[in-house]
Amino acid sequence: MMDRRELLYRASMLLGSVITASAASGVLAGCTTAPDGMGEVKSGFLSAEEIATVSAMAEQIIPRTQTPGALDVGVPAFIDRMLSGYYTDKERGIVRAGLTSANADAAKLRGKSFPQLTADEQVALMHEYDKAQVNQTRANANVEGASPHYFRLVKELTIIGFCMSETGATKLMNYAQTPGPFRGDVPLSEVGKASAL
Amino acid sequence: MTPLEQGSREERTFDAIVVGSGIAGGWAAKELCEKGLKTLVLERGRQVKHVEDYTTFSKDPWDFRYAGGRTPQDEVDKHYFKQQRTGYTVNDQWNHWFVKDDEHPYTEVNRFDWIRGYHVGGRSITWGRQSYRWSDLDFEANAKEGVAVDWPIRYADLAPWYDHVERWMGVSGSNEGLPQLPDGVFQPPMEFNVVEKSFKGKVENKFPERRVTMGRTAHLTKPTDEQMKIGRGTCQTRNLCMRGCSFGAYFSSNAATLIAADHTGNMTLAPDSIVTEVIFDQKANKATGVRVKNGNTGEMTEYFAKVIFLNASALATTWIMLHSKSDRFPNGLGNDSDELGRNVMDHHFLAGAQSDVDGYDDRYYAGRRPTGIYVPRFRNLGDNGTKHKDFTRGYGYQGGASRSGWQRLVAEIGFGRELKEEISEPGNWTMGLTGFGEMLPYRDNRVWLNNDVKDVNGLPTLTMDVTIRQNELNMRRDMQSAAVEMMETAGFKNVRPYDRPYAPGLGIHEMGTARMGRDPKTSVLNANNQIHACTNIYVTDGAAMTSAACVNPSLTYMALTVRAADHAVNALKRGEL
Repeated sequence: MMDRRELLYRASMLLGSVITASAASGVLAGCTTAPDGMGEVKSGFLSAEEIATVSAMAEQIIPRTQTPGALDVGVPAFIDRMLSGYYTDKERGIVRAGLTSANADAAKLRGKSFPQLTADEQVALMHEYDKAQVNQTRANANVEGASPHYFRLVKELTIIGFCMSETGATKLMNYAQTPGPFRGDVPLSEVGKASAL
Repeated sequence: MTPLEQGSREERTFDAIVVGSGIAGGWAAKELCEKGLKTLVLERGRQVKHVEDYTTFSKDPWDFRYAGGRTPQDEVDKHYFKQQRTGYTVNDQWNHWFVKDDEHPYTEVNRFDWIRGYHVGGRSITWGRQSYRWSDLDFEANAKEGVAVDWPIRYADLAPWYDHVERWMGVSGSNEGLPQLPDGVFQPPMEFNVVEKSFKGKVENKFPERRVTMGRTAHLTKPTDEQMKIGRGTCQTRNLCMRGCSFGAYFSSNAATLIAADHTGNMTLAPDSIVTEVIFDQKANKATGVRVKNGNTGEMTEYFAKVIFLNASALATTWIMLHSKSDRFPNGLGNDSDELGRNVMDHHFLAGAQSDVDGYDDRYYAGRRPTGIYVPRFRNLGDNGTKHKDFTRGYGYQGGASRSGWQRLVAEIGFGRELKEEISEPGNWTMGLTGFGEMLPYRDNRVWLNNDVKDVNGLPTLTMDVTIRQNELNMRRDMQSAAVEMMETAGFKNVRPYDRPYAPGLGIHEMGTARMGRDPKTSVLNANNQIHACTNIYVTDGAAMTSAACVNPSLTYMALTVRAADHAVNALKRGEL
């Protein structure tokens, strides 16, 4: 599975096109038919406690500032949907164990759950997790079938969910489904922001 | 379109039958209908109507059930375990254009990636749209090197038909005056970005034999009246082409040839019609029609015509011929030479280089260009200066430069406000090149009928045994080192060669299994794409190819098709078929 996504990413790099990821907002329970009728959508893997932990992390990864953040665009529900319907049992297990360990760290530190920590305490722990995930990802770069670090999955899903939400794509970036004829050399100041696709 | 009615033999008799509605079949249909033949077009898959059946055309990224249209792994494992090997074909945006592997199995002695689309329009909906002419360097190579057999045609035979095809379908690109990549009839090329312009300047200055041009692509940049009249318009650079284009801005059967064919009133299009065999009349020594299995009901019907075009795609056409056994052709229709199913070729790719580019932070681009830059072949051009000691033939590069997007942030350390600010800023420039290399025809690279494995329609399937060999492997080393050399010349940083796993078929340019040639003993088709021993059948898809060249092949299939259609109509008039 990681192989396929990696391949997808490589193919997109290679072709100079970006095969992007998207997010959708809104909480769906269980298993429903996608609005386009193209298949099933699953949700409900994460428990309420796990959603709370994911929400705390997502808010620190892409916080609400003068512009909307991860929680404003429904990233926790997006992560639940991706875990429930797109990822494999193995990856679901990695995320579940990781969220449990984050709460164990919080308990050891303050006798509280992760969401109950102060923002600074959460951020301090998350920097440790971030270092660990970068190291593990690098170490496993050429290992076929290697397991990803759970925080890598949470961070990746937060970024994908945010950037491919309507708000993320259109408010923080430029998004046009139909851009019109291509202009090859344009001053960045003229377009202002990065393109979402 | 006239609806297909079953009925008397007379009602099931046409002037011409075209098998397949993809890029070659669409052209055969258009040309034959415009020349006045009542033409039946048989397509094994479902109907796809231009615009109305592009179900994902207007979706935004957040409209899909999972990120970016990603298809869940359990569905991939069940239905698309081979189709997903490209890394980009299986996605909710467009996986309805690809077959389900559980319904349409095949067997691999060595890994072979057979990426297919069974529906009206076939792979013309999802093709890469790169359109390059062959040159005499390509047509003469087999004869000069004593490889396989000689092509029975030369560039001059095909040049007017390339003109005809390019003018009508619309290709954007620029004329370069290169003997190895002939000029054509082009609409204005897409623009270079600032990094590509710099790359072009530095590379062409240092390497006089190398040219950096814009990818010639079948997109309209300045549509003609004729193109607009059938509802086609200018490319809006969405780069979501594989969903199908409601603007008709890129060329497909659905947007162009089938519409033109329909306008003549001479076309009958029959979806869900699987051709199982060609009916051969031994006494007359010609084909009289085809046997068709309805893809939904399993019902068998026969249709008749004076002339038949097989355009089902290289391997599917080969399947039909292998499956058409008679007393005269016990080993498959037209297979006196035992070359049918042999000499499978593709283009090998996924070897090249990537690099980072410093600077140009204040420059960007607008729109999503649906093509990249192209570096035409510069090895083994016939002179000593370009001769490479380790391999014969050559390769071209496709690639481009771009600024990285938000996806880069996933791999970077850090999060919070800083990460969020970076979302709005384009990342650094990067550049990538991948070589597309010629694969030689090897007689033992072959496919054959497998009666033990049946598809969802209860029909036999194919087994493939195809590998690349030493010449291709040697070429791949040069595809890396020459790309590194050019990027270093351009002053790019962190230049990284790569050679990723490639298996035949992955280029989706499979070809060569019913090759053209001069001698019926060593080839299946003659110089007009007629089966040597059954001349009222024309094969003009990838099966016809005698060698592969290094350029994308669809334009050549199209030129061969219109040339053969012209031949067929004239031969009919002369009473020869």
